[in-house]
Order: sequence, then C-alpha cells, then structure tokens
Amino acid sequence: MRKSLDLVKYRWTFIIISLVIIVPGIIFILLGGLRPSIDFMGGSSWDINFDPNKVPANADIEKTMKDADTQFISTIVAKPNKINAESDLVAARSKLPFESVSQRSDKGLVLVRTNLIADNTGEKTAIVNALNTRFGASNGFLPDKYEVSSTSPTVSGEVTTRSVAAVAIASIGILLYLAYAFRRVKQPWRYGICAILAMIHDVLVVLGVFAILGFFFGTEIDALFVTAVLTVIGFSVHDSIVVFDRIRENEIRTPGEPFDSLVNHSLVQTLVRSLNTSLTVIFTLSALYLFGGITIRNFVLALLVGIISGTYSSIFNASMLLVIWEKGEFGRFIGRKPKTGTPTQTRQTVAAR
Amino acid sequence: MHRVRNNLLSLLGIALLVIIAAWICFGGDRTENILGSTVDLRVKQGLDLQGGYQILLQARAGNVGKDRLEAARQVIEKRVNGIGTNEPNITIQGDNRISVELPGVTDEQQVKNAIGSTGRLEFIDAGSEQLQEGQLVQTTFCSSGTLYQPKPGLCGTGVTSSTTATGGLTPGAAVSPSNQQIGPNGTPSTTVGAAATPGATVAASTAPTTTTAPTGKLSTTGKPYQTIISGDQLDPTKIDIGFAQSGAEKVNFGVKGDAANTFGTFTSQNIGHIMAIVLDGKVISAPSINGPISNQGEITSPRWATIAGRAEVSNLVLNLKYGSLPVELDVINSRSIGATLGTDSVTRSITAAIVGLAIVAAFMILYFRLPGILAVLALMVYSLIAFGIFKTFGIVLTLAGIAGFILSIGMAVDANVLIFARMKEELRLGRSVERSVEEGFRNAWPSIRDSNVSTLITCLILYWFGDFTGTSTIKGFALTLAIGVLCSMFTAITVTHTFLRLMFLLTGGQRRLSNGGWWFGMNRTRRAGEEVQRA
Repeated sequence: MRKSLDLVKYRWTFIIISLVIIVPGIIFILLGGLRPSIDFMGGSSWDINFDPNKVPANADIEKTMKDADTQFISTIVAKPNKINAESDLVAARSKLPFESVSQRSDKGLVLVRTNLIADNTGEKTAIVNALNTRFGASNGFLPDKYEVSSTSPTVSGEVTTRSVAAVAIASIGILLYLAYAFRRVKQPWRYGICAILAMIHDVLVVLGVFAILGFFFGTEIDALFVTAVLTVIGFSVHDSIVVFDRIRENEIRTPGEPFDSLVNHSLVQTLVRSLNTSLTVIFTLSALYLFGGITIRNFVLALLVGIISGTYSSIFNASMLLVIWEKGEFGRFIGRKPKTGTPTQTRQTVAAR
Repeated sequence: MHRVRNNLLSLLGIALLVIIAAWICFGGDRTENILGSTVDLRVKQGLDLQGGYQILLQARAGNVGKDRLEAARQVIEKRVNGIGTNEPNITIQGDNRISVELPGVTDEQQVKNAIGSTGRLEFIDAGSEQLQEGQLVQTTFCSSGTLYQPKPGLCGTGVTSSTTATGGLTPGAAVSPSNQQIGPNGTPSTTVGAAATPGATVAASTAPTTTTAPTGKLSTTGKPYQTIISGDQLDPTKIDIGFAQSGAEKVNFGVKGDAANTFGTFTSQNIGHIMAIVLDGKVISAPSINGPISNQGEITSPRWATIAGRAEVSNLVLNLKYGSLPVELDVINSRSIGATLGTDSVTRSITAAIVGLAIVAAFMILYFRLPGILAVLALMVYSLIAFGIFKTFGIVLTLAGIAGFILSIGMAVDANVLIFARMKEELRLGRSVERSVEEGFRNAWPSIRDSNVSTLITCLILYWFGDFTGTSTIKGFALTLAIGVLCSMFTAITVTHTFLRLMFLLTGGQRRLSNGGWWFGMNRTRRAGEEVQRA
C-alpha cells in the first residue's frame, strides 16, 4: 500500500513559510509601501495612453500638464464674473500650487496624480488640449483614450470610513456564518477562529504584495482594491470551509481517530480538489489579468494574489492551526521554540496505522 | 422507465431554458415585446466601457431638503436631454447629492451646461407665432435686447443662448400648440371662458414648425426672441397651483416689484400675442396673453382639466419656481472616460472571457474527461443563462462587472469540480456508477452551499460598500458575482446532475466500474480504496 501523504507533520514548516511571505510584506507596509490612491486621499488621477513605443519622459508629461494648468488658472484669474467653482479653484491653487506626479505603467499607459481638477471650469479640457498639442502627433496621445477620476476630500473621507466598516462587517458576518455552519461540531468557535486567522493571513499577503509593489513601482491601492480584499475574504473562508467540511464529516464517520490523523486524512482527500477548484478561478483570473481591460489590472492582480494565498492558507494554515490548537502547541511555541517536531512525529506514526 | 421519464422532463426544461436564454443573448441589442410588456434586451454598458462622464454633485448649502434636490435633479435631467446623450442617468443620492452619468460625453463644456449654476428661465415675446413646447429658440437674454437688460455675470458662465441649445428639437416633443393662456390673476370669468376655447386663431395661424435649428430658432424677424423678464424676476413665493372656475388647474405666478412695470407695459400692449416661457433656450410653455399683468398672473389651459394635464401643471410650477438650478451644486467626485478607452476595454474583456473559458474547458476535459465534457456543456448553459439575466434585467456591465462574471465562471466550474471529485471517490470505493453520481452530489452539496453563501454575504457587503459614491463599478462587480454564484449553483445542481443521470440511465448505470474508469479521470490501474481508506 502506498504511503499516505503526511502533511500535518510539517505544520510548523507551513506556518513558517507563511510567515516568511508575510513578514517582508508587513515590513514594507510599515515602511509606508501602501500607497493610498485618490479614493482615500482626494485629488485627481489620470490614465493616459500613449503609443507603447513612444512614451514620453515623465518630466515632459508633468511639465506639459503643469504649464497648461498655470496658463489656465491665469485666464481664470483674469476673467470677470467668476462662478463659485472658478473662484474656489483659484483659491485652491494659490494655497497649493498644481503638481503632477507621473508614473509609467506598461503598454503605453502612464498614470498621473495631480491636485483635484475642478470639473465645471474647463480645467480638464485645457490640460487635455495641451497634452494633445504636445503629444498628439508625436507620441500617439489620443484625446479620447484617457480616463480622469477626481475625488474631493469629502468623498475620500467617506471611502476610508466605509472601507474599514466593510472589512469589519465582512469579518463579523463570516464569523457568524461559520459559527452557524459548524454549530454541530465540537468547539465551533475554534473552526471559526482558525478560518479567520487564515483569512487575516490572506489579507496580509495581499496587503504585503501591494506594499512591496507600491514601494518599488508606486502601485496604488484604491476602492477597487478594498473590493478585491473583501472578495478574497469570502473566497478564503470558502476554501477553508471545504477542508473543514471534510473534517466535520470524517469526525462523524470515524469517531475516536486521533485529531491530527483525522485532519491529515481530510486534507489529503481534499487536497487535489482544493487545488482544482482554485485552479479554475486562477485560470480565469490570469486570462483577465493578461488580456483584460488595463484599468482593472491591479484589481485582478489583488484578486489573483489573494486567491492563491487563500488556497495555500486553507490547506496549509487553517487546518494546521486546528491541530496546533488541539494539541495545545501554541503555548509551547511561545515558551520553548525549538521543540516543534519531535512530539508530533511520535503521534503521527501512531496515527498512520 | 419512470426515472428516465423524469430525467427527460428535466432535460426538456433545461433545453427550454437554454433556448430562451439563447434567444435573449443572441440576435443583438433590441427591445422585445413579451406578454404585452416591453423588455429591453440591450446590453447596458457602464461608462468605463462606452466612455462618458460621471459626476457626483453635492449641494453647497448642505442639507437642502428633498424637494429642492428633486427640482434640481429634474432641471439637470432636462438640460442633459438637450445634450443628446443616450440614456443619461440622474439620481438622488442621500440627502444632498445628485449622481449624474452621461454616457458618451467627455466634453467638459456639455457637463458644465448641464450642471452650471445658472439656469435661464425667461418669458419671451413670440409675437403672433405659436411656438411649440420643446422648441429651441435663441433669445436676447445674453445679447442686445431692448426690454430686458441682463445683469452682469449671468452670461459669463458658459451658458449662453447658443451653446445651450445644441440638441435640436427633441423627437417626440409636443407638436401641438399649447392652447395655453396667460392673464392677470383673478381675471373675471369671461377670461376664463376665453381660456376654455383658447388659441384657435393662433393655432391656425402658424403650422407647427419642424425644422431643427442647431443653435435654436430665430423669431420671424430673423432676430433672437426678445426676452421680457427672466426667472429671477419672478416671485417664487407666489408661484403655485390654483383652480380656474371651470375646475381645471391653473398656475399662479407673481412678478417682483421692479420688473412688474416692464411686464405690465408689455402685456397690456401685446394682448392676443404669444408670450412663451423658455427654460435654457427651450420652450416649456407658450400661452397667449389675454390681459395685462403687472404683478400677479395666471396661466390656464383646457388641457389641465384632465389628470394627464395635472402633471403638466406641477411640472410648469416646478420650472417657474426652480427654473434656474434651485441648489448650487459642487462636483465632489468625477470620472471621465474616453470613448476609445472604453471600446478598447470591451475588446480586451471579450478576449479575456474567451481565453478564460477555453482554458477552463480544456482543464475540465483533460482532468475529468467524460464528466468534464458534461461540465463544459453545463458551463455553456451557465454562461447563456447568466448573460441572459444581465440583458433582461438591465444589469449594467462595467469592467469590474465583467471581472465578476469571469470570476463566477471559475466558480461555476468549482461546484462541478467538487461534485466530480466526490463522485470519483465513490467510484473508487467500488460503488455503482449511478450510486456514485447520487452520492457525489449529496456529499458535495453542503460544501457548495456553504462556500456560495459566504461569497453571497461578501457580495452583499460589497454592494453596500459600493453604494455610496454613486459609482457603478463596485456595485457592478458585486451584482454580477452574486448573479453568477446563484446561476452556478443552479446549473451545477440541475444541469450537470441531469446530464450525468441521463447518461448513466441510458448506458446502464447499475454496473460497477470494472473498466472504463479512464472516462472518469481515473487511472486504468486503479486500486479501489487505496487513497480513501476508512477505519
């Protein structure tokens, strides 16, 4: 008989692998790698497309926009009978001069962050026209192939509050649901908490990856990123449920089996399946990342990272944490670190039959 | 056999569903008449797919009340319709916000026209010309006029007569003369009587003009129509709905002190002529003058005795009261997407969807073989149904929404994978094919249910999260994902199940799998119970 794969034996290894991924992420988060977009900070964000082979220098783009804006503001200042929006704009610019920071993305896309562009004054049109004059013919700038989003401080404040609230509500909702789904199992909260820990793991991985990307490439996180995180939370729990479900079932089928062996069984039984279910989602998301719309690529990337992490954590973290908890190894981990492998090994041979 | 018949029945049901879904999905964008009601079967593309302008407006004054906000919304809607954008969407958000979505518009000037704080309400001299409601006209409001002298500053905001009136005559606008009369308030019954048999001579004198002037119609003298008074010279406290002696509703209005003289002089000299009321260059009412009005006037029409007419009355009151935007609005959030970018996104999304589906299909068939083929069939049914639902219920497709849809394709397979994996286990245990199918479904169901419910909870939260800015992006994602999850549960359970059952019933499901395991994705040299040994 082929020897059954023993995953539970390596539970601490898996946890440490997770930590190896998460810790650098946390470091970069602390280093300020997470760059909140205008959704949280307010301001305007421009997605400008150039001919991929003729992307102008960042400084050139920034100067063109700044000059155009300065000129526009001076025409507004000179104008009699300003409407409120125009007076506000002049006041805002005198307080904080126009600034633009551009950042090259791939496929000819350049992202530019500027001060809040005042719609309803013609400021945007002035800048687009200037860009068109400067880059239209020579760099493939198309005046109708761009996107400008503006968010005022009012809205960005709300987005921030809502984001925090949404993540909190999602966590509580899923915890309640887990408690309900596992209400007939011994110690349902244990399953719930382990699933939540796995979920936090996934959120940290996604945040960490984006902190690293943000640190090195200036990738920003926006409201869609929060959407991705919320979705990942759902998927993460979903993955954990598949494994927990099997544990729950096996517990009934084979009463009295040692818990780690029970978990191992359940894991091996669901391993291929867990991988398969995630694989199909990963396939579709990869297609979306590679071929889909450019403006949502970061969103898709966040989903992709989160779902891969969710698959890993549901197999290698959530259930392992259950075993660790059951065996009371947490205290041991904190008290005496090196004593990880040995006692498990002996228990494992017994369980392997 | 009884069971064969049951399964054939469900197959028939599925076939019917597929035919309906295919009929909805294919055949292009159209509206259909189904059971007496018109169903719009067009794909509603979000702004990020067709390009456009999306703005969130907030009242500068803070809490302005529902009435004024609604009035502002209506004014914006009217102005936006003048731009000629296809299907603008203007909704009130919360207490003091209005969300405006203008598909196909990226020109800031047009947006400015729509939300600019100075709406122009004018009473103009149309002489004896019976103007139609909806007619765009040029007025002297911002140019040289003899009667009305515009206040400085009102015309310098980009909203001038000629730029506002760019849309031409709206199709389907009222083509009949208005039959309305305008006269001093509290006019004797004879005037009311005249109002009951109105405008006959006027209506006969001018045939309805159908020319669409791009910059608005000029008067018969070839000059812009003379503006008599403007909306800010009306006294909003005196504008309300009254009742004529005939029982019909009428509109009362008052003119402010300094303008009353001008108005009185004009009306007394032009009895019998038409004095049209114009909002942003568009005629909203064209009554004839039946008496001199100084500070109190009324507008009557025989049409207003009917229920349908009453809507017209309240509309006119609203326009007179709030003709100029009643609330000053600030843009607090905006997004403008170039049309080319949108088209580009559509092409890319379609490519992504096809590639994604193809990879998943290849994977399913290679890995699960026979059931995999059935799952791919089920997946196609799923895609048809989901897309059919999007079309029928007018779900707005955005880039993120498409991502949600494509994600749900992965999840639709997910349910099938769970079922097949369970089935394979049962087969390995040496169960008959038929029993394995049933057990596989039964055992996989709790997992499918639980995981889908957790995703649905997430969608609910996402919908709430995305609801506040008035942007359709996040909401679109939540909605398509939720619909996808529900559809995938349905197809996995009914469609795949029926396909499998039917196949085994027809090929003899009682047999055990002594050979032919390959078709189920197992190795030929399988050893029963090898991996799944139970104590």
